[in-house]
Amino acid sequence: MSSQEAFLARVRRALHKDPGPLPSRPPLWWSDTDVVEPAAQLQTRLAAQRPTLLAQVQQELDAAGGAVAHVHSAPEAVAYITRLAQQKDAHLVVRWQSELLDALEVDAALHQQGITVHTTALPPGTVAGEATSTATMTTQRRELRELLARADLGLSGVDYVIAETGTLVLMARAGQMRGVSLLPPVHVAVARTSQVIATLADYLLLAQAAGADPQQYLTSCVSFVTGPSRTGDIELKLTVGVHGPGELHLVLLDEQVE
Amino acid sequence: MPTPIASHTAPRRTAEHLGTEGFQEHARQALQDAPLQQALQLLVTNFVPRRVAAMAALGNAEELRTEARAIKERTIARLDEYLEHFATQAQRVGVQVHWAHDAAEARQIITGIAQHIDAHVIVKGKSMATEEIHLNTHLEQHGYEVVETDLGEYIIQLAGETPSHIIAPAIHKTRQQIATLLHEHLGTPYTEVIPEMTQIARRALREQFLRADMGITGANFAIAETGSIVLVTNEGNGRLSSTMPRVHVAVMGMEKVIPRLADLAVMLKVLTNSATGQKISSYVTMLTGPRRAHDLDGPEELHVVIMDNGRSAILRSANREALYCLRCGACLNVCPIYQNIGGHAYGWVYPGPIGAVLTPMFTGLDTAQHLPRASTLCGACREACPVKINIPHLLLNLRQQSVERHDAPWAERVLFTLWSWIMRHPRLYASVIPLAALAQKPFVKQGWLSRLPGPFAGWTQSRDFKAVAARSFRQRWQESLQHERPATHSAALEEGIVHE
Repeated sequence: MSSQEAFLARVRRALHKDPGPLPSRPPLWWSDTDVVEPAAQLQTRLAAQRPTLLAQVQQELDAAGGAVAHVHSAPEAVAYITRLAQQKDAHLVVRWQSELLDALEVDAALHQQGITVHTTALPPGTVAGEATSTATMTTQRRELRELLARADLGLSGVDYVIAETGTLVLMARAGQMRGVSLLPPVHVAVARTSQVIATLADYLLLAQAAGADPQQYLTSCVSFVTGPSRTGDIELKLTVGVHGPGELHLVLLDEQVE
Repeated sequence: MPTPIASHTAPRRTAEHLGTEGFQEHARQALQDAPLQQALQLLVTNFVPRRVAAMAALGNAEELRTEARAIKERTIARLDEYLEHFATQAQRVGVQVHWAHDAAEARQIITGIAQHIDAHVIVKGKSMATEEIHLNTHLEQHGYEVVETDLGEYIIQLAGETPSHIIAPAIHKTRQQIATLLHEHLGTPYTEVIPEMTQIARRALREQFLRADMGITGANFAIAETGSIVLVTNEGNGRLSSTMPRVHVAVMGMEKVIPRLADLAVMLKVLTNSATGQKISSYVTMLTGPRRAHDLDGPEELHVVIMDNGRSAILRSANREALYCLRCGACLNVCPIYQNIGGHAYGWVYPGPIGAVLTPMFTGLDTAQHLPRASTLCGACREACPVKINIPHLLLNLRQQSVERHDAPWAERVLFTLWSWIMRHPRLYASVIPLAALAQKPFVKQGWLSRLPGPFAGWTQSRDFKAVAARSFRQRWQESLQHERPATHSAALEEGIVHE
């Protein structure tokens, strides 16, 4: 096995660079690294553009084969989700643990239709950020994985929605599994309209402004999701639902829900 | 060790080291392969206009390409430093970074990880880097069950073949051929309905994802600033391979690093628009370390294998910019040669114009000196390239190297040495050309030479030459001057022709 030193020395030789560090190396980044101020300005700009951005989300996600429901109240959002679950003849819904989903009280509405809802929460008594026994986490992970493998619908929140491409940004966190938006055949994401931003560059800036260290501002997995899972591998014919969900719905909620 | 499932161990047809004759034979067969020609037509009518429309819709495609190229130039110029920074950042978030000098080392590292974690079933996301090191064969020889999960890669794995296109690996297969493969290997009812075939594959592969202990993917980008790797897929094979198994291994060429998180916005845009004409792919996955203490899924371990495997030699060469390649496949789709012969004729992992550059540099000119010549140098590839790689120029560099190595047969070399000497001596040239005009007489048909004799036969085997004119341009020019001798003509005569 090559050591890092030997490997990089070979690269340096190929670049005809002097061995060893230069006394005054120019910085690795060639542009300004301040992100906090630009991020604050961006938020103000985005607020003004929001109506245009919402229309763009609708158009772009439509084009990518997803569905957008623009709703104006929590009951409307819940009605959309419940109706969809019924249409899909869903028996098991697995959802993220999130403030927005809790506030919608979607679980009760689904229960009324005889649908089981399971939340991807940490084991009872666990506080995110504090130590938990590995064994407890392992059991929880195994159970959730089994549930997800047979879930009919995955319900998640989002961190942001990118208007330019109709892309959902989902950052994995405690209680917010990657698998919810990946394993079930139908994925429904709920977002507030205030979460809509213009571009991927906007997201990258906002993310970086949220912390000083990559470990803080990026979680272990950031998924950018644009429409259903698709393939063109057989005769270049577009087909959906090959590994991930065959259907993607975005419920955009226009009102603050208490 | 478990015994591999028979269906996954069909011998992969390896076309490596075809040589010139092998290439010509492959090309000839490809031209007569009706299903292949039909499939290649799909690329031309489908991929090409989609990319052109998508780039036009961007409004600033030219600026984006310039910016993407600039990012690549700056990164590659200080590649050692960016790699070092990437490794440091990745290790901080718990990634295990491995360095592989060549294919053998990369395979050894990956097998070592598999042994260490006692893996049995390995699922793979689509990755050209692992094709490059023939990883599947190696892992299977070590007793692991390896399952490709990109639909196209799965199909060719079932068929025991290699990919024929960077992003549409099974483009050379018809739906009937694929229907038969699925039916025979999975025992499912025969169907030619593509959504049904896709669902059959989904069910079969979902089972594998749930069984697998180890997931292997490539990496489209590695971000130095954050230590993240980025996977770009449409099906979700990258997401599942990096989420479901206990251990995820990402294999990447060392040129995949980009400096900053913010650079991803530009690079991703030029990549997906060029590859499939999509503004963004269905899934882009940015992984920063393995799962953390309170994550409910994701792998326990994340390994990144950084591969040189010939890349430092490219870095050293005049063809350094070949390392800017994002593997989008756009140059394949627009290439008049690829459009006619498809990917397998190129004989190695990377086909098309960029393959004609990379293959001789990876495998040596000895076995691939024919590839740089298999180009019309029309420049369509350079026009399509998201990072503006001057592929025709790189091909010319390789041709020059090939000439310097005396790769051509001696007769050809003598002929060209003679020809270049004649060209440099105008008087001699003027006296030789009429002789050629005379000598060609028996072979000229309506102004064309379509069959030359003896040692020249090869030249007219697949193309016609315009016959040497009875009176040369020079003669006609001088005759016309004698007719009407305006001042400008005489100046031209003084300057350019008489003293030439």
